[in-house]
Amino acid sequence: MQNNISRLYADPDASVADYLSCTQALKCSPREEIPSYMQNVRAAFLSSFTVQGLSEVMMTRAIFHNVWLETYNTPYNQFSQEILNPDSALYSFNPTIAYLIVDAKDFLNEEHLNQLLGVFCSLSAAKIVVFDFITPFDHSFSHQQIEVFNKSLKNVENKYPQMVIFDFSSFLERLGKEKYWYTKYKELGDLRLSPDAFISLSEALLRYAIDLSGAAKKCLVVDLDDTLWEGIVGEEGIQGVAPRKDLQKYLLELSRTGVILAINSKNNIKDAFEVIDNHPDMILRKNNFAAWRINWQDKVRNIQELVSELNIGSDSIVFLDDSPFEQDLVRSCLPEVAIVPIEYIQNYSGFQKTSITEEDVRRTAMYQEERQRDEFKSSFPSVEDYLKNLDLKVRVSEARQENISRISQLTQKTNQFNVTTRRYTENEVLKLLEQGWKIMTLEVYDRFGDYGLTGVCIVEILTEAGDKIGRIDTFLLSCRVLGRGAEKAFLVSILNRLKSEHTKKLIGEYIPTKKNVPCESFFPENRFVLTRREGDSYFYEYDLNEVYQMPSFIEVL
Amino acid sequence: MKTVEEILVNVFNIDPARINDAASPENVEEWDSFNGLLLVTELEKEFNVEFSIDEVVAVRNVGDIKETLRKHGVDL
Repeated sequence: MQNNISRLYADPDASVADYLSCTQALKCSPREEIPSYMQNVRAAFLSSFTVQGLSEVMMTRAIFHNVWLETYNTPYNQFSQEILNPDSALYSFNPTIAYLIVDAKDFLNEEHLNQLLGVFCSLSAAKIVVFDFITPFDHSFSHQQIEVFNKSLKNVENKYPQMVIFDFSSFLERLGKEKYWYTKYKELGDLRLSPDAFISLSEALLRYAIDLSGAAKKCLVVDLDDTLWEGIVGEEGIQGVAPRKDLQKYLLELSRTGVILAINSKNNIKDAFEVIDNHPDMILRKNNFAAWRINWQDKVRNIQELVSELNIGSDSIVFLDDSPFEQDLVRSCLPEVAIVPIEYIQNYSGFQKTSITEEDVRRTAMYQEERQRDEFKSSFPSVEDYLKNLDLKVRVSEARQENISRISQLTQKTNQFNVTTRRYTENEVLKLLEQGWKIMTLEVYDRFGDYGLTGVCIVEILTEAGDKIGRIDTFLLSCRVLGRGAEKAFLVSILNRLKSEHTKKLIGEYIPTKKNVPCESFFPENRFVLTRREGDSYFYEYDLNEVYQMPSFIEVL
Repeated sequence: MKTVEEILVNVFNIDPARINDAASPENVEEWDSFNGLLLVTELEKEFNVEFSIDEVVAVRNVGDIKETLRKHGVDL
């Protein structure tokens, strides 16, 4: 359920109806199925007009923030009576937070409001979030009058520590007041605020609930390539990447309010820090990060390790990554981690926003001082389970005329998962084919889509003591499809094909470069045996009489 | 692009088999006044049209909805 809600959160086209069907399902879910990290909040909505649907949208939206929201709405326009009557359903609901939403037109006078808030605060310990007043379109109150009302609201706020004003007027201005306030829905059902506004409003209102629930997030884990900067440093080098300055400025502000920043990236650590330390446009530098995992293991395990190192709960983590694959992997294995799309991060309400202490500001430094680089041995079988659900499909084919330019392009561009980094022009590729070399291509699909032709393997066929043998001249995969077993499936397909053509032995070669660390152990991990070193090259052999199983979760087309 | 039927199913959260041109608030209990308004927002968003208050009030059943959409030039 939380996975669905997380996907809803990330979907810019999600509608109120989509949220409401989720809410219906939530309301039916048995209590014992609520995960223990969910924090309970009881929210009452006291409004002078219909906000039907708002509390439901909020309930679903709250799940994303690890908050289980129980809601109560006062009956139509009975908010005054309910507040003034100590025996009302409002008080027996026993809210931990209340939202007071009063249209200026239903507002009697300052004294009335004062009285309502005074009674509420004496009868309930709940936090009360009071919407400020909106200047009506029909001039029944002037802008000046509304300003006077809002000023008196400020005076009342000073009297009651449990009260806080929600700047509804600024919220509406940002969203588009004409589009959402007093539209035809006002005439049709006294919905003075159009339901289309409920999703953004929920996010803004949840901030208060999250704050008092203890579910606020403490740590932001960020990816590097195409997230903190545009481009892939392992492929394009430090000159090829462009730091996202606005995003980084925002993250820097967050870290100054005590949010811990950490890195989770598939990269060579040297490449990554070359950008972080030396790129002139970087806003965030090494000392802004409390911890990092920059390596080639899966990102779920990296998050688990960061959680142990920083000594926080995984339910207090927000994960920012451009890749739908990584997002969904983390979402599936760690539902308590909030996956926030990059374009929403500046509106995300879940971070801890309390008063800033000296310690908050120093927190990152403290973590750095304490950092221990323990080895973490625990394994997370759920990543395997996840891959099983990815519907990964590969197609391995012999090179065709129409693919020659793509094959040449991949040999020119691919740096990271490329065992020999040999570059070929289109003409050279054609020549190899004429000489009888085998060129195989890999296409990869999963439930996120079609990655197209993303792998190339070039094999020279030789004869050795009367036996047919193969020599892998090139084996490469685009980094877009790494980390899900596709490279293994590609290799196994090639092994099987060569075997069916009576090839006895396959030779693999690895030439280390600054950038191809990700495939350093590719041959030994796949049962190739190291036979010799020559210059920079490592040579491996695989006896094709051995049977090698295809990873069970991959379908070969 | 969603169909009118898909939008109705999503908003009312009901079995698609219950939806036909004669379906109305009288025979679909999930079609209350609030869901009716939600339906208006969904239809407007999906088909990029804007209904007047009179049009919304005049609708009595699914057939009327389709009729109104056609008047707005939507090809159903």
